[in-house]
Amino acid sequence: MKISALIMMLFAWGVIIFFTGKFLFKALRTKKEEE
Amino acid sequence: MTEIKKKEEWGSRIGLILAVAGNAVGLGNFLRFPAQAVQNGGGAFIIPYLVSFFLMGIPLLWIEWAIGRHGGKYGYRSTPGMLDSLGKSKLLKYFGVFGIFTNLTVAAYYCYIESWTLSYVWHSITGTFSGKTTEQISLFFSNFLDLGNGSLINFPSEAVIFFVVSIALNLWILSRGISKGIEIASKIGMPILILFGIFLAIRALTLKAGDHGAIYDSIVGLNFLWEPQFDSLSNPKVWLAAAGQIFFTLSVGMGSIHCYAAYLKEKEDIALNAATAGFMNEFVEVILGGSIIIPIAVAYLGLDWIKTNVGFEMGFRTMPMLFQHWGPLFAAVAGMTWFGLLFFAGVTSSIAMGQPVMAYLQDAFNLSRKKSALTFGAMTILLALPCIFFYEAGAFGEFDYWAGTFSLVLFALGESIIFVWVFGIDNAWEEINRGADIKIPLFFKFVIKYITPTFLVAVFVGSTLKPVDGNWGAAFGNLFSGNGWQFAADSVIGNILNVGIADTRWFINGIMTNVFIIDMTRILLFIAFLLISASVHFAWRKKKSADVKPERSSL
Repeated sequence: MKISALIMMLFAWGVIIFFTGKFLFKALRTKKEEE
Repeated sequence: MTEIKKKEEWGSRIGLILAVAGNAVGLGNFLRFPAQAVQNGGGAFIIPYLVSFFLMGIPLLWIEWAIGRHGGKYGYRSTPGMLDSLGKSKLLKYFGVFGIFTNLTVAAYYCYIESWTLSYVWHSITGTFSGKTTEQISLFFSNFLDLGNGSLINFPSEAVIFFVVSIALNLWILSRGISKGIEIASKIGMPILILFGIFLAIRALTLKAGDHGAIYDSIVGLNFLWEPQFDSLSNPKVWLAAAGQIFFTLSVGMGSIHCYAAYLKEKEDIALNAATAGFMNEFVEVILGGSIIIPIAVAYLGLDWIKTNVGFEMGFRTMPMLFQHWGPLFAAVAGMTWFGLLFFAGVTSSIAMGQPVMAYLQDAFNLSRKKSALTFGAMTILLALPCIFFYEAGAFGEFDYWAGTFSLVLFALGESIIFVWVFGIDNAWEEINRGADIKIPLFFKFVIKYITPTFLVAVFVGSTLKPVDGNWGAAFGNLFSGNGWQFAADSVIGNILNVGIADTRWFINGIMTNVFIIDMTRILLFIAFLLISASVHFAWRKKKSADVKPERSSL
């Protein structure tokens, strides 16, 4: 794979996986008050 | 303020997040995003895409969740009442009509597409595509929709049967309620969708040249999708395309997010929920959506073919043929997972369109959940008829353009201005942050007040005045040299003026033309909007005479 394409893909994937994981993890730990 | 008659609630936080993410994840994640990326700078597209997501997408999600939860506090579960509760003007509730109109009209044609995916799951499993050539599979799609029959009217009998089945499934889910219907459907549908997506992405990314007839490594497709053309970043067309993609992928401007948020308690978090659902959608779109259709298609068909054929119909006309290279059993599995994934993406979105309409019917006309579901179903089928029978004549496209594109942008622009400038930025900021499980940086207060509306104005103006070929530089050059502004055929003005259509007569030799169908469809959509506005007017008047405090009635 071309290095420039790989960098752009990993950048996009990295940003999205980081924030999705971070927020999902926090949301699952902080459940609804009734749960 | 009056109490909600019977308070429905979400059963769990993850159920709510999956439902909102499911609302956002749709067919566009897998079919529209890759096409937009390859046509707008490849890997460089991700820069304006992520900038738009952080400065317009996420703030707009917060705005819509906040409007919804604020309206829910007063017993409003659809946008006319929600917007009415944000200010004193009596006109606000009429602007909220968009939140009913778009859901109803988009559901009509969206459920039709959804039914195609269900039908294709069936045909993949039963081996219909087995042994067929590229042309035969493409022809199957045309025959399925009864296209190219030489008549103005299409009679797609099989598609109609699957459409009825899809509508019935949607109504069944909706009639079960928020926690037992929508939430359970999302908890089942979203994980299956993601698993199917991961399965296909792994298969796509491990394709090698010579493997099952592939001519290229799938990495060639990834290079094509991700190789950055940084000079494209100076082109306004690319930025508008990125902002437009973010806008449509998040399903904002519809009223469905508002409705889901209305079932939250006053102090329940919306900041973290909105961000999580938004990023889940991005995960599905960029990581899964970007790793399936382009790598597989490039591996078998090459770059030149993709450049000229990438688009929505490729998912139906081409993918089943490509799966045939993998042998009968694997082709059936791949077809089932691909169209199953699209079907689950469709269902979780279409039920989100049904709920606001049903909530409005329940609140305004005291209908039971089942009766409101049936009424929604009847209205959806009625509105879908022109999309089905005049598909080729342009009715479907008109629904998609005016209801599924133009109205969404207009509503999102209006609601953000109302929320920030009428309700007030301080109230808005307090509303977004109440009960928040994350601390939103203060910087976003500025973004929500100025940047997000500016982005929306840009998308709105961009779509209204889009010049030929999206070439803004040349368009301004023409304008300043006295040659006027040349509108693109797919711009709002271009559509209204029928740009690109040489003969705009309704009848030629006594026979109806496509222009007649297109204009009648526009009139139908306008009448639908007026009827919903009238129903809002009468519902408010009825409540005004019944309630002590009409402006906070239980609509």
